[in-house]
Parts: sequence; C-alpha cells; structure tokens
Amino acid sequence: MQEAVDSEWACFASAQRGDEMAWRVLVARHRTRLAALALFVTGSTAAADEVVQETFVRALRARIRDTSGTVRGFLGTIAYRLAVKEALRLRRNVGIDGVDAPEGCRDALDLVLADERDRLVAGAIAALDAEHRDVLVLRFYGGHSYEEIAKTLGVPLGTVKSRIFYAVKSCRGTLKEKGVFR
Amino acid sequence: MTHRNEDELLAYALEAVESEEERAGIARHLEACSDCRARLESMRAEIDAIAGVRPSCRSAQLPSPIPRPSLAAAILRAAALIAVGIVAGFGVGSKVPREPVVISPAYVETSPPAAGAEGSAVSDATAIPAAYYEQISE
Repeated sequence: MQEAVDSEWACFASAQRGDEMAWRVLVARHRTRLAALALFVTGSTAAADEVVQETFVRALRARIRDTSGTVRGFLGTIAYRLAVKEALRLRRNVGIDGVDAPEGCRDALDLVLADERDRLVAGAIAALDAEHRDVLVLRFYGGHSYEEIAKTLGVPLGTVKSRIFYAVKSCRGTLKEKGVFR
Repeated sequence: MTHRNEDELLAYALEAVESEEERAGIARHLEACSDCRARLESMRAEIDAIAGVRPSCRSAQLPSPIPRPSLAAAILRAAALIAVGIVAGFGVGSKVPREPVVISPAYVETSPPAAGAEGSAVSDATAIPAAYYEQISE
C-alpha cells in the first residue's frame, strides 16, 4: 500500500521535473474523477473544466512537503478548494446564498454524462445539500480518508461519518425510487 | 439469529460505524450469515455506482510540465531518496534482528574478491558473513 503511494509520488515528482510521460499517466489517472468532483461542486461544466485545468497547473507548481497522503487526495484537495471558490463566485453573480447546486446543474450533468444510469446517479448526488454532497464528493471523487475530510472541512470526524452515511442513504433512496437500484 | 438492518450494513460498508464494539459485532454476524453477506455485497455495488460517475472529459487543453528550477528539483529528489531510505530501513528492520554492522574501509579494501558474480556485492552490508560482524566492530 505504502509502496504504491510512494511510486505515485515518484511519478508526480518526475512530472514536475518535466517528464511528459509521467505527466500523461498522472493526468489520465486523475482527470475524470477530478472533473466529476468539480462538476458536482460547481454545477457547471465550463467551471469544472477550468477547475480541472487549474488543479493540474497548481499541482505542477506546488512544492510538496508532505507525501504521507495519496497523490489523489492531494489533487482532490486542490480541486475541491478551487471548485468551492468557483461555486461561491458563480452564486454571488446570480445572488443566491450558499453553495448548493444551482438550478441548471442537472442540465449541465446531462451534457457530459452519456450513460443514463450515470445521469440518474449524478442527479441524486446533485440533489443533496452542500454539507452532505461535499463529504460524499471528497470521499468518492477526491480520494480523501474520513480524517482528511474532517481536516479539509474543519468538522469533527464523527460528523464526517454521519454525513457520509446520510449522503449515501439519501442517494440510495432516490435511486431506488427511480428504479436504478433494486 | 437476528439479521442486521439496512442502516447497520450501510454504515459497515462505508466504514463509518461509530463504535468499534458495534463494528466488531456486525463483522461477527456477517461471518455467520450468508444472507447479510449477500446484502452487503449488493450494497457495495450500489456504493461503487454512486462513487463511479464518469463525465466524458472534453479535450480541454491541460498544461504541459515545464522543467522546474534545479533547486526545487534537487530538494524533491533528496526528499524522495530519504523516503526510499526510510522505507528500505523499515523493510530491513522488520525482518532482520538488528546487529551492529560497521563496515570499515579496511575491511572493504583488504577482503579478497568474493567468488563469481557475488564479487560486486562486497559493499552491501547484507552480503557480509555474520562471522565478520564482531571482528569488524572490534
């Protein structure tokens, strides 16, 4: 396990030194999940694209001091922070408080999700309130441990566990109603 | 035997059971109950579906890596080496009881080359016969 983490960081360090191949491996491995993360948090495909791009730009420039976590979690943290900032900016422009998904979110998701089942799942996630959605997104798409989520969000570990539980429970309920899950 | 309810299994599948005692209780039940195991499995498949939404990535231009200034690269390399050293240290430490291994330059210089392909391994501490240890440290 630890060896896998170390080799990921070695790949990351090569990419930072200009190794094109290592870079491609890294991008290919992480971009889809990061795109999903950004999409769920911002509710906009354009914003999600920008967030993913900016995440990789910042990762390339970052000075890595701590490699005890995973590369995935590291990228997930950058993407999450950028996405929240972007979501706040988007909401401010239309004058809606909070960072819950905007009305147009479902349409945006439909655009980039070819798979019908994926669309319904994404709709269930997008329908969560921001608190629960963010924990779910960080866990499943940001590659965070519960401890890391607690740190990133500044909430107690128990709260994180309770939120992931209710987030998934709610999604399952929605998806059962729609006949996606039995 | 009472079956575990949905909520208990879901918390278990998410590794989000609050108390260790409760978690152990569910684990024990699962060992004995194939019904609940099957329910847990299908629940895990559903969780995977929730965790597996894949938006099609449009070919947005992603940045290309630019070689960084050599100082930063050197620091990174050093950090990587230290990390490897620590990992290697752990690996050896967990398997071999620690013995005082002191390789003096004299030993390396005066020892006759080992036979065959082993010759290049002289400087490798693990290749030094145990009998030499005391001799060297004295």
